[in-house]
Amino acid sequence: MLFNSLEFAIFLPFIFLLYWFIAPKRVKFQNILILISSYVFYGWWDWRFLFLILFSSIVDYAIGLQLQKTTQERQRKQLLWLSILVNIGVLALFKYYNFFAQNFVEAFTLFGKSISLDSLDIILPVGISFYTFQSLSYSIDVYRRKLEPTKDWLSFLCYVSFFPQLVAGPIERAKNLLPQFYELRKFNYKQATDGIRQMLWGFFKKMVVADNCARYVTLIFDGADDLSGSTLLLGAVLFSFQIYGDFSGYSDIAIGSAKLFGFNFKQNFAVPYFSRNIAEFWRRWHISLSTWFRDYLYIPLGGNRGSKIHVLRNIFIIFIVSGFWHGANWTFIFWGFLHALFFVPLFLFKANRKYLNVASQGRFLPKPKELLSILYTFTIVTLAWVFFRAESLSEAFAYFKTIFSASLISKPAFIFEPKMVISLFFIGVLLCLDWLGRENNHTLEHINKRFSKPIRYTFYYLLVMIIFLFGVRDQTFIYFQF
Amino acid sequence: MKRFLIKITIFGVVILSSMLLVFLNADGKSDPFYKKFTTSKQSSLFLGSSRVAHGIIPSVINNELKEIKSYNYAFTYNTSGYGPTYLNSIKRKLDTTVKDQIFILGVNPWALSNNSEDPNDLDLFLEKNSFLGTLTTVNSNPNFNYLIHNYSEPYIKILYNRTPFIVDDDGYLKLILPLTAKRALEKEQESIANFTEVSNDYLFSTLRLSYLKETILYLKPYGDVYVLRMPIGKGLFNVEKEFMPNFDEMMHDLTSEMNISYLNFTNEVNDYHYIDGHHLFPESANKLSLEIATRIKPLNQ
Repeated sequence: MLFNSLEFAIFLPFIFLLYWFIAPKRVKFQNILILISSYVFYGWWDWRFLFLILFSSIVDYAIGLQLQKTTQERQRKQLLWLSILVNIGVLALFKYYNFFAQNFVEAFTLFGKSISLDSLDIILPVGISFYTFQSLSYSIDVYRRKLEPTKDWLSFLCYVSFFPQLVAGPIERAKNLLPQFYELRKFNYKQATDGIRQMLWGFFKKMVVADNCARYVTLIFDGADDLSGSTLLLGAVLFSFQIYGDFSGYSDIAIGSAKLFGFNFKQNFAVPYFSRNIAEFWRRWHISLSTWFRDYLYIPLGGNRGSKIHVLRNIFIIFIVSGFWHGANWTFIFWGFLHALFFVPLFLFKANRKYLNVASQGRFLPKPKELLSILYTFTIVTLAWVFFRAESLSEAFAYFKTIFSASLISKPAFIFEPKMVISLFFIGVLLCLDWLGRENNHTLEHINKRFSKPIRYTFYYLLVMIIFLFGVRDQTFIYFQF
Repeated sequence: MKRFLIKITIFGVVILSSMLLVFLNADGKSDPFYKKFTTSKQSSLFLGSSRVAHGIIPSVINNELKEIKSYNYAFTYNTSGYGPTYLNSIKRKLDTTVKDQIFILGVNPWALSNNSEDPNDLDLFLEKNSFLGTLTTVNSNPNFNYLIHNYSEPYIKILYNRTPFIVDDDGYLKLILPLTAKRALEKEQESIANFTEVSNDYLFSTLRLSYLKETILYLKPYGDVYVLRMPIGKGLFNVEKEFMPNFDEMMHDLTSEMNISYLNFTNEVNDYHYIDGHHLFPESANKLSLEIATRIKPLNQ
């Protein structure tokens, strides 16, 4: 079920009313309702893959309990590896098998040998990368004794499958989310209204900004061979906002929906396009994934400890693996590699932790130097997105070749088309409001704090009507494919 | 909770009322199809693809044939090709309480073809997932079902749409902006190129032909049925001739077999003017509609 569908517009209020009116006094009833509604939400897409979620959940639940019982370190390590093998194995089979098989065959062909490996004709289960990582983090935390394993199977099943974040995150840690399933949730007016506000902003970003940009992004990337450099640059910029609106919009809707049911998720995006260097960007973009890789890959590899070579190796590993997590294609790997290249100078000059606060904190406008840093970071991030969006590396390099040609100094195609003007206008609205709300957990929190009730309600009314009038309907989310 | 529900309900009512107001503004300019699903059931239908939608003006024919109240229920070649989808939609739109009406079924090679490896595989018929395939309500105003599930543009287009076309009350899709002869010629070349490409992907479908027969059989009890081939520019006619050289013979055989008339206008291409090589300008549509009325008048008496 898509967040931006009529089905969800009926599903959410229905579950909300059942949750608070039928099951408000028993935590078990609340959890049963959450589990059923989460499975319905996921099964709406393809019920057969529910067994995969159930399988992943049962394995990690059982391993968690075994880890508690076992005191021998060797056995504990074996259990952890079992969890890793099962989760990553499922991911490898569904997501990466064909990639490895194809590259394996090509590698042999290079050496003059020809082998054949059948590719699997299977569909990628929606959200598999998200829930396997969430489930896996539980086993690792229990193994590290950072978390008591749960004996409450219902809560654990809810933790893995909770519908707002099941298919595209945020990847919630058991430490934060699981205990919330143990206790009875009580309706909180402030939390619920804040959730509605955050959802509203998410819908604006997804339906108005991302999906209006999407039509031109597709047009430009598909027709790149015949378009000018300036048009391709425009396509890359539009894709930057498409992917930001799409993914951060999803996160806002997910976090907002969870608030309606009394849950708090961690922030997943914190105005990443106002970052002043690439390190800050990665502290603000898809935070739940960046911190996952930091805690479960970078630090176990040694993190910042050891020689410079050692740390550089770790930096490249974490960025490349992060790229590969997004998809089984060399384009994603190269995208990760590029970000590692961007990051390395910051590490070498000890500037990676330079910007820990938000840009222009306490000020209305940025200083010129700050603005330049923001623009520079946005430019390199945008150029790197070309690899993320392209179908192949050769396509991406050809795209760059055209961008950096004489045709860069020309009028971009489509620029004065009404739909393009609308897309650019709403990108402007997004940037302005994001800038005003950059010191808050989400953009509309700022509106709520700053303005009087009549202004607020008029603003919310206008925002809903803009989503209704200008929004593109029933478009899937980019991150569903990951 | 009470406060939350009261507030959200009030806000929701205001929002839904505003949305309803927008929907109430939907009309013949909103898109080329919406209005056709907002009129009541119709007794006489002109069916087929966009050539019929642009080319036959029911009000002109109604003026000539006094007993008839016809309606243009034609769409596009990739949504209203002859098949179960279009037939079901026709059944929903037809007022079966009225008899002795007329039905004109526009035909051309594309309406009897499909762009799949097996052109007789029903699951691969293009229109299956189009608005004609999913829309069960074709006679309500406003048509919420269409607006919510099938309206493909952002809703702002209901309030402001710069489209050069408008659907009239009789279902006729009229061009309302002037088009220069030069631009029309350019558009004709684009159409020729487009259909030359289409002809590489499309294959004749015997299943579509049998559904054309079934449509005729379904309509026959309610009046006189005519099969019509619209006039088109020479360039496109040549593309169609190459794609399906025996098309006219096939239609002659079909209409004789079913004891109905075949109105073939492809020999009168120079009498009409085309927007893009195959869709008629309003003046030509007017002329053709008069000509059709003249030809079927004696047949109808």
